[in-house]
Amino acid sequence: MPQDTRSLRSKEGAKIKDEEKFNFDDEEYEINPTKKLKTVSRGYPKDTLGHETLLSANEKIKLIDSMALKLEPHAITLNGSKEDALSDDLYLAYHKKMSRHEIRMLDSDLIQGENEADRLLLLSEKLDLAQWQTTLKKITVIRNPDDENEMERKRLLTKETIDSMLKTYHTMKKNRTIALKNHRSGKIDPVKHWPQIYNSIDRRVVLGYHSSSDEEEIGMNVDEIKSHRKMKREKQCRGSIIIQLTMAPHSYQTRYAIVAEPLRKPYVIKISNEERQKWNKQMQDAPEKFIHYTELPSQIAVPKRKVSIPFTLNQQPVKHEKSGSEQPSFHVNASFSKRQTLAPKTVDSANGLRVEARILPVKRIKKK
Amino acid sequence: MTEEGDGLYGILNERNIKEVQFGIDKRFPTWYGSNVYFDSENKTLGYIEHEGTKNRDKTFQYWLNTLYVCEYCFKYTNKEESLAGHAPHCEFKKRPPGRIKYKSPDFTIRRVKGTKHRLFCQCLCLFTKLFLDNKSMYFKVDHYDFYIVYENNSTKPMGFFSKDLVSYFRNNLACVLVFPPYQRRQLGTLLLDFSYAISKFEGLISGPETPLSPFGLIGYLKYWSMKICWHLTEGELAKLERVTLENISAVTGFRIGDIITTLKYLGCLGGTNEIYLSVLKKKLNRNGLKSLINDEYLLLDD
Repeated sequence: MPQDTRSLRSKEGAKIKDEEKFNFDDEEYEINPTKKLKTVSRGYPKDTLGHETLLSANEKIKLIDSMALKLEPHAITLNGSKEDALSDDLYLAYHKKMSRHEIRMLDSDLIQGENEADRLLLLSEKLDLAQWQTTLKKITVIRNPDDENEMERKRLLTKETIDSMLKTYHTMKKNRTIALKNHRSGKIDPVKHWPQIYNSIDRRVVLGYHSSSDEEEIGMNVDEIKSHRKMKREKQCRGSIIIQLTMAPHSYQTRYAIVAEPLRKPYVIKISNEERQKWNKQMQDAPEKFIHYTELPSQIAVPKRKVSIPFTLNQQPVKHEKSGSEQPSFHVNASFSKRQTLAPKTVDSANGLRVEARILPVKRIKKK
Repeated sequence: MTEEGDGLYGILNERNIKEVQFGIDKRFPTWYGSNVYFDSENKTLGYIEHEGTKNRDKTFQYWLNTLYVCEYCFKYTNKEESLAGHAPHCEFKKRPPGRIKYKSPDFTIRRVKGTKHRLFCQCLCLFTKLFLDNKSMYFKVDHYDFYIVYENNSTKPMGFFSKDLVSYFRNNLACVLVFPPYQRRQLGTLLLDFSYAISKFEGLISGPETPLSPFGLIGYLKYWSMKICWHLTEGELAKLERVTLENISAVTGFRIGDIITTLKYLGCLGGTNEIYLSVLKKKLNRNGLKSLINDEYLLLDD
C-alpha cells in the first residue's frame, strides 16, 4: 500500500521535541536582543568567521548560477478547436480525491496539536498545585533543586512560556475557524455594530462584505484604485467620519483632522484649503460654538512615519485632477493647555448620509 | 516505494518528468521529481481515467517525457493537442484572477485566495513542486493566500509566494518561486519584500516558514543583508551610536534569529559584537534597492 508509507512531514522532529525541557539558563539568542551594540565608523573587524561564512555562501551562489535552466523556444501549433480542451471538470475527481487525502494527513496534525495543547494546559495547572516541585523538575532544567529562589523563578517562567504558547495556539485555531468557507457566527453587521468597522479588522468577518472583482481597476493607477475602493467600502459598510480638530464648527484656522474610513484604522491628516471649505460648508447649520466637550488629557507628541495619502475629496477618480496635491499625513498627539482643550465634533463625509440610505436598498435587492 | 525520498508525500529522489512545455512557445527541463501529478498505481497523470490496468515498467526513470502546462492557469496535460486546444480559450489569459495588492509602474501583485480559485491554486502548487525540493502541500489550498506578480499590461504570472493564513508561528511566507522564464530579474527580492510589507502592516515580526531550502536561504540572506545594510548606513537606524537587535527588528520586521544570522553572514561583527559600518557601506547594494517595494504603490489597506 503506497499510501501507508506516505507522510506529510518527517516525524523525526517530533521525537526530539518530546525530550526537550524548558531551559531558561541558556540565552535564547547568542546576542542579547536588548543589548545596545556599538556602531563603529572606521576600521574592520578582526574576526574572520564572517568571511568564511561569506565564502561558503558565495560557493552556493555559484552552484545556483550553474543550475540555471536552459530555456528552449519551442512553439506548438494551435488548432482551431471551438471548445476549451482542458475544462475544469476534467480535473475535479482527481483533485478532490487528493484533497481529501491531504486533509486526512492534516487532521492527524490537528489531533496532535490538540493533544499537545491539552498536555501543556495540564502542566500549567499542575504548577499551581502543592506538589509543583515534582512537576517542575520533570519539565524544566533545574541546576539546584534545593534552591527555593531558583525553583520559584523557573516555575513562573515555565508557566509564562506555556501560557504564551497556548495563547498563540488559540489564535491559530480562531484564524482557522474564520478561514472556513461557511463561517457564519461572530459576524459584524455594519448597521448594528457600526463602531467596530472603523478599524483595521479582518474583512472576512464583516457581514455582507465581499472582495469584489476589480475589473474596473484595470486601467487605473494606484491613487485612482484607492479612491475607487474607498467609495466601494463606503457603499458596502458606512460612510467615512471626519473630525476636525477645532474649537468651533466654522473655524478658518483648522489645520488637522481625524479621518475614519470603514475597515481601516483612523488616521490624522493636515487639512487642505479645499477640504476645510467643503467641510465648513457641511457644518453650516451647526451652532457657532460647541456647547459640551470633554477635556482631553495632556499628551506628548510621538513622531511616527509619514504616509502619503491621495487627495480623495472627489468621489469619482477623474484624470484631470491628477494634479491635485497629495496631503502628507502623520500621527501626532499634540499638547494642549487646559484653556485650549478641543472638543471635536463629528462631521459626516460628503456622502455619509446618502451612503447610509443606499445600504438598505442594496440589501433589499439582494433578498429578492 | 523505494523511489520516494524518506517516504515523504510528493517527494521523489530523482526527476520523473523530463521537461515542461510552458505555454505555446517555451520548453525547459524540470529540476525535481513529483509523484502527485500521477495516479499512485500506474504512473499516469491522475486525472486521466486509465483504460484497464497496464503496469508500466518501473525501470524507466521518466514517467512522462513532456508535461504540457498552460502558462496562464497552470492546467496540465500529457498531450500537445490538448494544450493547443486550450490556449485560445484560457479565461486567465483574458483576465488574471485575484485582487490587486500592489501596483507600481512596472509590476502588479495580485492576491488570489485558495478558497476562491481552488483549481488554479492547486495546479500552481503542482507546477511549483517541479522546481522546489521540499514542498509538501498541493491540493488543500483553502488556508492559503497566493500572491502572484505580473508585469503591467501582461496576464502571464511571473512568480508567486504563498502565505499560510493559520500558521502557528505567524509566518509571512510558506513557499516562493519565480518561474523559470522570468528568473534573474530580481523578482524574488520583490516578492520577499512584499511578504514583509504585509506582516509589518499586520503589526507582526515575522519571517518564512522553516526549514528553508538552500536556495531559499541564499535568497533570504541576500535580501536581509540588503535591507539591514541600508537601514544601518542610510535608513532609519543610520547615525545611531548604539543600536539593539530589537531596534533592527522593529524597523525591518525581521526575526531576531534571522538578524543575527545576517550580521554574521555580512562579517560586520567585532569581538564584542560591535557593528562595523565600514563593512556595511562597502556591501551596500544600491542596484538591488531599486527592485524593492515602494510603499507608495501598496494597496494593503484599501
